[in-house]
Amino acid sequence: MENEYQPIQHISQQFDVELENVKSQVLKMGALVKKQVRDGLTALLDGDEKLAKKVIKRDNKVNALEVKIDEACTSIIAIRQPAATDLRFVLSLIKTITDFERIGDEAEKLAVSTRNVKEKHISEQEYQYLRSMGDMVIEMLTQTLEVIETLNVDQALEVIKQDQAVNDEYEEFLNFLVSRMKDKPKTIKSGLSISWSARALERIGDHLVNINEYLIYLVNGKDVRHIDLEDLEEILNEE
Amino acid sequence: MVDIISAKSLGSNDIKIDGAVGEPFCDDAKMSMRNVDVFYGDNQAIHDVSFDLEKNQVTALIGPSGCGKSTFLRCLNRMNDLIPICNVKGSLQLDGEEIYGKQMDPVLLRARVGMVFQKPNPFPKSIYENVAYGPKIHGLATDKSELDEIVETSLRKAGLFNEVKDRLDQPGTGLSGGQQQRLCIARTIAVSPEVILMDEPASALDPIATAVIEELIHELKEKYTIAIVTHSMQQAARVSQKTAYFHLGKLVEMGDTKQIFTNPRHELTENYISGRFG
Repeated sequence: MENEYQPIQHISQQFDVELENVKSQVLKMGALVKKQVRDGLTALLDGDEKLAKKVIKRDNKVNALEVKIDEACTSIIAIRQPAATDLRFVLSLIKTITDFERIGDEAEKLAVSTRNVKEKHISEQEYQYLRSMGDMVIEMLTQTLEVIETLNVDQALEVIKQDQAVNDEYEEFLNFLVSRMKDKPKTIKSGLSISWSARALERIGDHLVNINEYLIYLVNGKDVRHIDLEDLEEILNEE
Repeated sequence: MVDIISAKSLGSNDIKIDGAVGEPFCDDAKMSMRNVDVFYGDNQAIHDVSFDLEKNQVTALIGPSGCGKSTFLRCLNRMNDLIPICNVKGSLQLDGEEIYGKQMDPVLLRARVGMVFQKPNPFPKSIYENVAYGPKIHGLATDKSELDEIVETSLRKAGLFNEVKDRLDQPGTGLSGGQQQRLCIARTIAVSPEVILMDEPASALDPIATAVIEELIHELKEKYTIAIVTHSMQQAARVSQKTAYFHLGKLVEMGDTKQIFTNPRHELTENYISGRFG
């Protein structure tokens, strides 16, 4: 099976237009979610409460897009009865936007933590850990948007692999916070607060893994959820 | 503007058909076809087609106009014998018996492998006679009460009895299109076939009558093995457990209907069922 899916036209050109519209709406939602994550992280790290408020307010737009795309997909299923790749396309994108919406919620959590973390004064090391995790998930998000555009399975696999680095960084950061909290019990409150933000970034990585798994299913019809990386590579190398 | 999906508009020149993909064979076959070629004079309509019809399952034969699916279906009860220039080669077996073998009586074969056509074609006789005709000529009933029972049972199985029980002596041609088609199905069932072939059985019917026929097909598979040719892919998806996709006289792909409609293995199948052209 090809690793990149390039659909040819339907006999019904209107059907092509409808599918293309859904895809561009999903890309629009993805771009908005990326902005939310970036701004949420910036607000948190810079203690920018004004920006944090903007992020919190803008989450409504993410939610509204989810509803709009859901409606468009429901209409395609009802009217077009999509089959084969078209069916997988619609199903995968319906699931993708659920994860995008949750990434939006995680970005909102970063923004909500801004005031709390600002009051506690973030340390240089904490800043570096969050920055590093944030940069990693933003890069994963950027590449995921490219995968939605190109439907390239190899790139989807690359994004899934990158999540391991996010998980490793998260674990290291947690260990750092725990040992510091042990040594300096005064830092327990701020440590817990910051650990929630780190957790939000780690969850964003997990959501992006889900999305890339859906996109692999879209392209080659293989359900690769709930399997470890080695098995995943083996399955993709079959045929 | 494209008028119709024809075999040639599906990009067949560029895409290779190198033997059927998927799972054309099964362990519990009612009919087994191997290396079947069909010719109309010098023109070859079917090329080396091999697959099984699984017992008590509905198999849908789909494909663009002119792909040979109806031609193939008609081979399964030797309806093509009626066309002088038609020549069938290869092995076609019903329960291991060659249907084109010298021992096989085509009239008896057609009682075992019944057929329902695109347009309902009741005989110009009463509803009762339409159903009773087959059992009579095949000597399936010894007396009138036995014949009455066969007629009633067949009409019940075809989901028509309650609608016509008070007018069995009236002409079958006076029924609605959907009722006429169910009458034809009752007529087919009346001779206790093992296999029922259906060639576009619902294409002349409205959506409600179509839904009734589809529900009937679903029930009939408990007792019979069914092969259905349909232009409606949604109908194939709804009624069948197995789907075979034909293209330019070749079997391109066969497999579980669910797999064919969610993840077809061959590009031509994909293009056809998703309404694309190359």
